[in-house]
Amino acid sequence: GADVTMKCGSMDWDAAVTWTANGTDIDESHLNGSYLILKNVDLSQSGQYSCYEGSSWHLKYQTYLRVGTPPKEPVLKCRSNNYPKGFYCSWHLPTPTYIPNTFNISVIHGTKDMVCEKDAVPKNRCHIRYLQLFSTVKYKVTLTVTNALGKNFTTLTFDEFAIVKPDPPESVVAKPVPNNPRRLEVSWQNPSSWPDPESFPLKFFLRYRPLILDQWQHVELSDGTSHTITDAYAGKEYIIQVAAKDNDIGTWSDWSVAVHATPWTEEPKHLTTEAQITETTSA
Amino acid sequence: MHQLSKGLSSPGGCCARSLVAVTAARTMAAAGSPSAALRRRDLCSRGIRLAGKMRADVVDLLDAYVEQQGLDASASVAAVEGVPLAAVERWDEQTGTQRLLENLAAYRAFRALLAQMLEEQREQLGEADAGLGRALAAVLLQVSAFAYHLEELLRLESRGIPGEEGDEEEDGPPPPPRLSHFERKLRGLGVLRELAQWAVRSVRDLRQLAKPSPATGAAPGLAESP
Repeated sequence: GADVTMKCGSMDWDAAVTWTANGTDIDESHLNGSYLILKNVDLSQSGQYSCYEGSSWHLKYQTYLRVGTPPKEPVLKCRSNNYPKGFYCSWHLPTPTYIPNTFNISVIHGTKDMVCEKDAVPKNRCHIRYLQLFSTVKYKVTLTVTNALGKNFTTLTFDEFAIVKPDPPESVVAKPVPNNPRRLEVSWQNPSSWPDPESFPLKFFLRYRPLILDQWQHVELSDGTSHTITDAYAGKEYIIQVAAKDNDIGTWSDWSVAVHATPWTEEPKHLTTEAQITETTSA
Repeated sequence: MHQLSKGLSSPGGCCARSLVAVTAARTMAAAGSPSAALRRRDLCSRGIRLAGKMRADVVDLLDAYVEQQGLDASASVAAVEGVPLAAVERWDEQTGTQRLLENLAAYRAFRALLAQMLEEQREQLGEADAGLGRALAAVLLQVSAFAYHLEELLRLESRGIPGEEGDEEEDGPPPPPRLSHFERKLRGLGVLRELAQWAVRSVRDLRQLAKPSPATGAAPGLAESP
């Protein structure tokens, strides 16, 4: 939206010049003498601008124009998926600025400044180790984003328990139970990011439904990493997911990857005369 | 008979060094024996359930208290003198004995604080707030029960149970500071919030205590000389 004026190096105003943008000649209507005037620039006008002297075609000036926007308020979230070790904060901009941005994050616990160590990957994330546990004092995280056109910031305030959210359970497996047409055996593992499930046990929430129906059945399990569904519809394929939560604090994880399973069904009898004679009785 | 052991409520206080002789009637098997280990696990499991129930009731009480007293639930309350802070550094490095002693000191302090809150409640509001008073009394009862439960665990380890602070002072404990009505409300908020944190911490502490130690089969950190 801004206007841009480019001078052709040390050339006089009335010198004869040719401007190019990314190698393409720019129409004379954009020139005011030897000055290039771009009004109300948009993103497509980013690129390399060059100015050549009249007939000799000597390059007199070159620059790279980056069209961008000042940053909008960044989106910040903080979460502890490895309680009680610490927590991480991650951020992003709601809309791109198209020019480089720098992010600065500060974390305060009461009056104490804490260092949030930047992760190598992903770049927009940092992590903090808890120095204290069971504190009622809130944490205040401020993220500031700055670029050549402006700055913006956002703040999050939370207490230790509120941001605890484990990763979903892993290795969810669902198997039919032989000779049981209404059962499915489901098992899973604690998320590997949860450091100490023995001292900080997780509880689980299982949901399942046949593919043909929309309504989920739910089961909450306060211990163990397996469960047998006993009310499955015979012969119907099921979709099953599990979520986890610390037994005492925080919120539920996202749902695990969905697994599919169909309860055991009796082998269909072959419709041949031989089969009719040699019928086998199933258990 | 009981000596005072001061500094129990301060984190990292010299709990292990200030233990006292106890006059408990029960003769327990040696701390490392299988029956003692089973009893410890049983006491820990029950303690975990007690603490879990206590926490749920404290959270409900907190909601009722905030509403009745017209407070802002998100108000920051500065650390109040005499309220044991649940916050602890290097929690994972604490010994079993330290955990028990710090818990016991905290719940004894909460017992006194809640009793004081209950009295103030009755003085101010009389019958108008019987529900809140009943809820406070119920939590006070659970806090007392939990303190006793912790004493049982300490006895199991043949550990001396520290005398309560103020036992030997002839004039009794100092009178509580004169606070305004509003200051008392805020203080109450601080007490209940810290109690809620302690209830969570206690569950974690007892789980640590219940863990068998790989070598001796005894709980970690408890088999140590006073």
